[in-house]
Amino acid sequence: MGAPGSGKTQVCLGIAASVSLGLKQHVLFLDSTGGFTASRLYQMLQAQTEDEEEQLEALQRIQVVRVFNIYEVLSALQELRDRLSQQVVSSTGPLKMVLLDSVSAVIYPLLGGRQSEGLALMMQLSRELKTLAREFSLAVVVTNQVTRDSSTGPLKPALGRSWSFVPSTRVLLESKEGS
Amino acid sequence: TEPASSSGLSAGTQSPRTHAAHADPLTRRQNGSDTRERPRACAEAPPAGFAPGARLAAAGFQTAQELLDTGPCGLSKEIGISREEALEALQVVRQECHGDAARPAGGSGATRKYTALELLEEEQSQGFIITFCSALDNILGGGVQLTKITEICGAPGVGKTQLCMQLAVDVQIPECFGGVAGEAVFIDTEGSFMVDRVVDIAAACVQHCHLIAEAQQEEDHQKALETFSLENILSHIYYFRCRDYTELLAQVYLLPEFLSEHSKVRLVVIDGIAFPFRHDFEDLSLRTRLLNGLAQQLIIIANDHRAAVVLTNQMTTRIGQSQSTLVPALGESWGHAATVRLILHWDNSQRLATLYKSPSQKESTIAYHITSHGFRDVQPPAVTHSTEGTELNPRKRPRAEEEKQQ
Repeated sequence: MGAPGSGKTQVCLGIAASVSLGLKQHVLFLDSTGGFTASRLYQMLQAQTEDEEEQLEALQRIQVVRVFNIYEVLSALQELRDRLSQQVVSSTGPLKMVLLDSVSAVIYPLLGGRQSEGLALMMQLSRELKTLAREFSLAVVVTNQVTRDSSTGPLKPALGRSWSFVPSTRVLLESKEGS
Repeated sequence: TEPASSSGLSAGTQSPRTHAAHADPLTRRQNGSDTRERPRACAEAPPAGFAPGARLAAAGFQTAQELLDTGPCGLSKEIGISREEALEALQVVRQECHGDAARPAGGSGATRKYTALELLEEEQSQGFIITFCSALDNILGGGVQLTKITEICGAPGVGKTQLCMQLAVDVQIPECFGGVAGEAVFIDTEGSFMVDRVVDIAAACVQHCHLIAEAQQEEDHQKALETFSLENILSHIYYFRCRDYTELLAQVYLLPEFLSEHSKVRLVVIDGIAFPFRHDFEDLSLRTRLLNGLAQQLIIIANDHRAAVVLTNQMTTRIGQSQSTLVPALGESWGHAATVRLILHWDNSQRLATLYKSPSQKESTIAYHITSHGFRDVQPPAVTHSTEGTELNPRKRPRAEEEKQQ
């Protein structure tokens, strides 16, 4: 999680690149912000290896799904679960990592106000991710936003307390002046 | 019906019945010739060891669409299989259908799944919308990118609306000159759109293209120039005026329909997204929610129609412990909406543009000028006839134009 421009998408791309190239495992990237730039990923791969064959293979191991609302995320995860539980050895091969870029982008429009389903959907999403991680031993990486209480308050993670129990590890990215 | 091909699932069948009946993206061709193939696809379903093909036909299912419509519960009751098996069968059918659904449909509604390699190829063939200020194009990586949301923030008078108008003209540059040959939608909330100014900018753009065509003397340049005229440019900018936030929201949510009728639109400009949301909004959490919903809708529009979305934002003051800084308005959560963020600001009397957030470019700052011809570099590139970088107040109509022309 981090402020805008702190590098969350870059970190995700870097993780995807190194898992796909170094560990030769498949990666599923769920992009909900439209920030996935394949040319930047390619740049990162080129920096890690000179071999073009390997770069192209690594690119093919990363599958990108563009999901723009919570229902699409849930159905993409459901489809993933079906595919994995059937153990279909298709072109996607052994999946080891799921990256969801910006869970807050899909959940924010639902929270608050008089809508009560927002919280329920958020918990359903977290349950899906946790079962996926546990049953199929996947690594799940999720990016989140930060908000402020008031215009002068400190930064805190978005999505509130309920979500804060979901991830096992939290990394805050921030840019400090002069670093 | 014509004989089904052995692959059976090819997309381009010549069915006498039209397939345009449904707007539902999951609709397949209501085509009798394929039905024999569908149950076979189910029978090929992996290890479940379950071949309902015959049972499906016996139960009276004719098309894949009926299967999908029935749902797993209905299906399990009809054929007498367990619900899990019905679910699996439907998944296979759905996947097969997705596999041959026309890719050019843009995956609207259906899952948009690609490998990174395919996306890379797509990106490399995509064009940019140039801004005529080469320094700005450089830091943006070629220009304003299609399928992404770009946010332009700045204090009043620094040139946001000028840049938007420039982009609305530049998106129409024909492909042989390096443009994307698209149309533009301009949604104005502040009322700062001046048609006279767009005429100036468009005239300068057309003149620039004429110069290039003369210098290079190519066939398609001449042909393109015939359609690239002032009237044409102005007629392809679709202007909407929204007075408050409900109108703006309505306009954005209605935009996909408009865009599917005008499929050549490659740019959507919302000039002043902050204005309707800033004054008079008591419920801040409602504002955050509305803005986030708006952002997601814009991302969907940008992605499905391969258009660039450009938003302009205002600046507000954040009062820190010891000093105050200018930050973009609409709060922290709005900062995540845009993929690319450009902040325009002043440094004494020089206008600067800083790229604050971009998925593929690094942060940098450049200087620019606003001339009577629009957005330009500080030092004009060494092309003959380009205007000098004189700084004119963009709101004043240029008076000494004719003297400067050679």
